[in-house]
Amino acid sequence: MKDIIEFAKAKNRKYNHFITIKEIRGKKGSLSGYYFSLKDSLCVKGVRTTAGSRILENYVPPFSSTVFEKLINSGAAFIGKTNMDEFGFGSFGINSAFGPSRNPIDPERVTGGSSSGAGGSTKLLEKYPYFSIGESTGGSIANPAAFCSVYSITPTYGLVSRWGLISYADSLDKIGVLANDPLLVFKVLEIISGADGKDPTCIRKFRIRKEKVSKVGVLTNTFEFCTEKIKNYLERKIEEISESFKVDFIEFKFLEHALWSYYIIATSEASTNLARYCGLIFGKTENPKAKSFLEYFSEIRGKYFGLETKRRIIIGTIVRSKGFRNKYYLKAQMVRRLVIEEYKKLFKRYDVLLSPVMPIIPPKIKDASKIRPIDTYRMDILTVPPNLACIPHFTLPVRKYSSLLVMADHFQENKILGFLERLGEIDDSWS
Amino acid sequence: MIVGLEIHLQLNTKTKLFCSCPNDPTAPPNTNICPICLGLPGSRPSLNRKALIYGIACALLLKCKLNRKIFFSRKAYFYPDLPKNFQITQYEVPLGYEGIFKGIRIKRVHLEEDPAKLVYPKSMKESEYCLIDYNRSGIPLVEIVTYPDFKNAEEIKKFLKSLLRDLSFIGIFDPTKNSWRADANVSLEKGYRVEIKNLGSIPSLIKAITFEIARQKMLKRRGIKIHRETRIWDEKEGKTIAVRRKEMEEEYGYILEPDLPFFEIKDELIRKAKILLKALPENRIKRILENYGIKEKLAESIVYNKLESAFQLTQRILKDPNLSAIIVGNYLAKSLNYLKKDWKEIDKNEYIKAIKALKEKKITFRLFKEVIKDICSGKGFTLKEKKIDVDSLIDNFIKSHPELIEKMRKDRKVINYIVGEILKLCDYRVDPKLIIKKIEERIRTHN
Amino acid sequence: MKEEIEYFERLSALFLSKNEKEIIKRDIEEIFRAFEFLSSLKIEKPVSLHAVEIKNVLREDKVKKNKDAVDFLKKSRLYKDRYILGPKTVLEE
Repeated sequence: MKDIIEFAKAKNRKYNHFITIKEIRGKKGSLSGYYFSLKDSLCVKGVRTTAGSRILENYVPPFSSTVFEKLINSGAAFIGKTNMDEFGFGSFGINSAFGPSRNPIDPERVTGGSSSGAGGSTKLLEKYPYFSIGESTGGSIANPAAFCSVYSITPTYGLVSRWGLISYADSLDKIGVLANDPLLVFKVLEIISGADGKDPTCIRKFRIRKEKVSKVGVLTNTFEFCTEKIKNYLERKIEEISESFKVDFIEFKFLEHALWSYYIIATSEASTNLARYCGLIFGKTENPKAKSFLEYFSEIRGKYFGLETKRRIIIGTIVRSKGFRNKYYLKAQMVRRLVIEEYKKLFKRYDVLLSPVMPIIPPKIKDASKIRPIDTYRMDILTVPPNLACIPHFTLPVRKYSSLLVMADHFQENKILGFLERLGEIDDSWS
Repeated sequence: MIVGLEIHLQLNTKTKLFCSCPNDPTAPPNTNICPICLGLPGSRPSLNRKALIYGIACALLLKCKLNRKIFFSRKAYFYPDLPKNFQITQYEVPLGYEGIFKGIRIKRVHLEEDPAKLVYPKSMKESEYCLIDYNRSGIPLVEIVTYPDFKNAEEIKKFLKSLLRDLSFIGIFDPTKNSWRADANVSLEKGYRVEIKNLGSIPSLIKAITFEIARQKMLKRRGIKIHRETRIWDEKEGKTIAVRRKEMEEEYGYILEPDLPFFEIKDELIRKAKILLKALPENRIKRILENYGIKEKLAESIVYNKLESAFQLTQRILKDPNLSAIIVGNYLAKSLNYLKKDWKEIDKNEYIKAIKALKEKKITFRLFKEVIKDICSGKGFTLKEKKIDVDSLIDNFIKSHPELIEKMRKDRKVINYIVGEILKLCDYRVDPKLIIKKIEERIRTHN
Repeated sequence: MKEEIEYFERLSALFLSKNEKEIIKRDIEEIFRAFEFLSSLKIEKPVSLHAVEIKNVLREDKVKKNKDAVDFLKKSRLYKDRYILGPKTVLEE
């Protein structure tokens, strides 16, 4: 155990993947011998949990997330909390109050976000039996996984309990796994999934099962968003895939619809989720005496929230307020249904769907902060649609910075596994 | 006057609406708390099945239609008594709608969570800070909104008294533990609505509404415009005061509550709610009438005064339902109410002694009524086993009132007078019929 | 919507510096222009809580006390004499 902790500590000053490094041994179980980290939006009792924000800089929760407990009980050893964009608001990992994370492939570049430390540490610690737990609302697992060239699963919404997950948007947040071994990703998912009686939206358990997969749909219009290089690498991979599967080239009509529907719904929910940070029971506090509540709350929140957080709170408040609610919030909900129905239509014909993950290679850290917010949001054009629909998706690294996104219908994670097995990405001796 | 009410009542569940903390407002401050009702990051709500059933029971009591598929929403606003700075409530789709109760139409019935309790060192306006107790945070509330059908104070009183009584009977509201509060919407014909918030008792509600109607009438007479506003009732000053409101306070930015599933109100839940309604006074009265055929007024008294077990006990001994009903529904109820006591506090052994004594004619009914009063005030009942020599009582009386002997033979009324005097002498412990018999014997033998 | 940013500041209890206000105003214009794409769509679809059907998960009415939370509150910085100290509840005009 000491070895991985020492290594992580030594590298952290440069790469900044961890906000907190701490060793907690696991009990005995099927994951004995493995080490894991949690994105810093997942609570661990007695361990500082910040969600990447200054307002929770010294917050120590009195309870643990279900994911943490399940992993410890299955034998895995905990090594720390990973860096993230504040409350999940970001696509590059540069919105953390604790500084950006550096990409192990090229330290001048971002790791992606918002599970920036999860993506980065999984690559950095690749020679250890290590996996990281991330969280995705609009693509925050797939994005850093693609930028750091690791495998990841963002499971169907409803498989993993969110008890102890500091919320971004509760109808969209999903807890997932990043690792250097594709099968390990599914093994861990099995362990962390399942109802726990504390999160009523967690309703099912995932169990690995052999599933035959033959029909593949490639979403051609998604490739148009990518740079030439990424397009070329991925197209070559598609050719390889065509040798083992029946491949159709189709369009997904509602990418733009999904993107803006997501930002409206996510910010509206986030603006209510973040209302609790007001300097009373937990987090940063000051002296409330002689101040009106509005004054006191506004001061604390103004002082300790980052700019992107403030931006999203304002947007989210607007879209659900009188006069805007029908036009934005309710319309976005309807569009969401439209996007889901479109996926359902496609999954009647195909076992899995393929697209790129990110349209660009990870930008340099100093350049990333110059990108305008609207353009940053546009980076999510390919990860948001499956996240909005809450369908499971897996990142398959193809080349440096270029990964393929493998999507399946709700609760059909085993189709993704079947696809990978037939493709030869997984050794079929696992069953 | 045109008045509508919005009533919030705490429900008598064991745990809070969205967490397993004890539902006990009387506990020491900040002892019934957990991450959920504190709104700690990472916590999320979980709906109490019992609260849902109680909510359905309330909706059925008010003869509402039920929405068979419900969900919750977030009502967002900032205030120190709201741990999450939003309240989980039902906005778009209430549990029940379009009902009626005591002639007042019910607009909607829904569930929501109670905020925390704020305590002030001085008055709310003067205090430089507040103190927050989260015991109350998350306690289940049922909110009842009426149409503005109330025409006078009597209707309001009757409505609220009946509502609280019935909810208490079916067990979903415990007046010794749970509290309620009401907001009143008051307006004159064709006027703007003024909302008076947070009234916590029927008398203050009536006073506030009465004052407000008078205030509005006076403004109208003077030709002054009545603003749509919110006011509070100042008990000390005896008037309603405007609370300055900005437009944004009506701005709640409702969104669907994504941390909770939607709920189908299935037949099983409705069935459980209906079982609770069996305990309603009207249902209990019906059952007593069906089983015993006593007078309706007495059945009502027995049920409303919660004396059914007293009635059963009395009936078991006397085996005479009508007499038992009179005893319990009339005399026992009167004594208990007068002394402000509960049947639970009465010494059952003493009571049983008295009933048995009555049955065995050891005491007269008139004496029995006095005995009931004694038992209720805790004095107990001792049957003075003194043997009363009726004969010597009568003979002594006649000896000291010789003029009555002649009158006795001619006028029956004199006999009644003598009987009354003898009864007084023996503390009413002798059957008057026995006294008459003995007097008539003497008249005969004297002849 | 430009002049209303102060309104939304108050509604979200968020203090923005002059600089932040400038930046956010400008960003919001751009972002809401993008949102127009959505709001101009003519579609009518049912609104659901979640992307997958999640229903009827209820909890039994059984008491569970939580000592950790009670201790946590006691250690809060604003915990004073069994209560949490809060600000004034009356808004200044």
